[in-house]
Amino acid sequence: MKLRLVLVALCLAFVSAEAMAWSGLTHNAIGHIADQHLTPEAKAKRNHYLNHTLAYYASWQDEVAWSKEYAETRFWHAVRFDAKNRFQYREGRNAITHISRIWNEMRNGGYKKLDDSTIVVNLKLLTHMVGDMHCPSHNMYDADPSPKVKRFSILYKGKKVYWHKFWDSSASSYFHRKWTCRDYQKNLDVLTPKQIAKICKGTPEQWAKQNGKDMREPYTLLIPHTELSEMPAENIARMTEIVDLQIQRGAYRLAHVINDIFKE
Amino acid sequence: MKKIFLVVAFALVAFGASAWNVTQDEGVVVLATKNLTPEAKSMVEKYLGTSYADDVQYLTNLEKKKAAKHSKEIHYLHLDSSLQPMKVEGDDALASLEKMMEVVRTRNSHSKAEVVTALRTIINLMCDIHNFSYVRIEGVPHSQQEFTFQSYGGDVGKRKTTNKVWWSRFWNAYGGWHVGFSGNLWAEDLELCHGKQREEFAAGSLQEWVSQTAVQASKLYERIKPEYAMTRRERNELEYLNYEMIARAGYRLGKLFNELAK
Repeated sequence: MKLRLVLVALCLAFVSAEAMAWSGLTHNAIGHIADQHLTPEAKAKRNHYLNHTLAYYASWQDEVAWSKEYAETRFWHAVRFDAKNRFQYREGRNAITHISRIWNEMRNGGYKKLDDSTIVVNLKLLTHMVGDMHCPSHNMYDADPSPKVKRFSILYKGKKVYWHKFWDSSASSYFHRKWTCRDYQKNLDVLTPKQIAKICKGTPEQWAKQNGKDMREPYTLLIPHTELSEMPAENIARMTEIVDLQIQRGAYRLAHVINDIFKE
Repeated sequence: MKKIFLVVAFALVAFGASAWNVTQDEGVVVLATKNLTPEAKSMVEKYLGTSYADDVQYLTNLEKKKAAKHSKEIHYLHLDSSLQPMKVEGDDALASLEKMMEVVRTRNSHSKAEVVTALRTIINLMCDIHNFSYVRIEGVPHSQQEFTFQSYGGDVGKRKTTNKVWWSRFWNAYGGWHVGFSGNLWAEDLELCHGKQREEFAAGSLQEWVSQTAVQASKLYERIKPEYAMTRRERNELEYLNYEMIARAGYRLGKLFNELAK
């Protein structure tokens, strides 16, 4: 009986770590930056199918993940890596498989073969997943034996906060206090077309591999069981750089995927 | 200690409780501004300038500074059991709106300060009359005061748990999806979603708009009572309804200013 309870508790912990990652604000900021980079064709299709900006639907998948209808998608937010930074397929329970699947299905006019409601759901999912795969806490290394990449907690304003929860809620407000979506766009949407093209080059699998390599660093910057404000300033500064880069990657790649899908 | 807390909590709830949040109100104003005639634009700019930062929560800010001269009823719509406007001691939102509109209509016989106050009050109250938490219906006890209900996190997983939610907070912070939206982003998104309904939303008179809010609020109060258990799906549906109300407020505020400027 006790073993069963432990298993249930472990399952719940696992499930809760899957969904959510960036806070709603960061997701919306990623959507807002992506909105600015849609081609006129993609923008027209966005308006036609979604009747909203990408920013509006950026957190949608987190809202519906807990309904029976979308229960399956709870496992489509994150990516897990092995020790060699290869992402784990896990029977489709990862973000990359579904970003690639939807992108391939819809590109080269493929979306024209789908009914409108499928297109709408696919666009909403992409809007969330492409941002989410870039969140540090959604790059998981639980198959890696290194103790540095295990789940741990820090202290934030005196309270114990787990790694995942930190990125869910506290992180965006900590690194950029009081920023709105517009502030994120104004401050981070500053790359040249050449830099943006470099970020967008490749496939979701390649982006994941890059994240798998890069997202180990944040685990080393936050010191377990330590108050965030007491951590070395250089760690926080580096963390801010990483957060900003991940937001840029998420935003530009999201626009790139949507533009490619609706390319005439 | 507990008593003091309760008194403070009640005072907060009873006076100047939460309406929509600042960015939602800004969204209403930006949307209205996009739909002004040149005549109305020039009238609004003459009195309020081009930045509405001080205007969107004018009444609430006065209340926070304890500098309010208006009645605490100013935010609310008081309706009898057949949903007709009711006279209350101190003007409610509808009565106040009508008075302020008259000031703007006869603006040449008023001081600039009076017209500024009237325009600011109109902006605030046009938001309030579209917010269900400000509707009080005779014979519906839970509409007369703040109450809580239960909101389910979801049908599956850990979100099966319920959270206690305050009625006014529910409509106000329903920024869940829209956190970080500025007024401009609200307006851009509202136009995308409801731009085609602009004429439909703005049609009718102030009294008809109030009546529409009243009918909708009455249905909501019938369903959502203290300790009601709301599903996640229902919560998301109400999010869309609230979103529509913000769009209605924006298009109607624009129309009102256009008419007043004539």
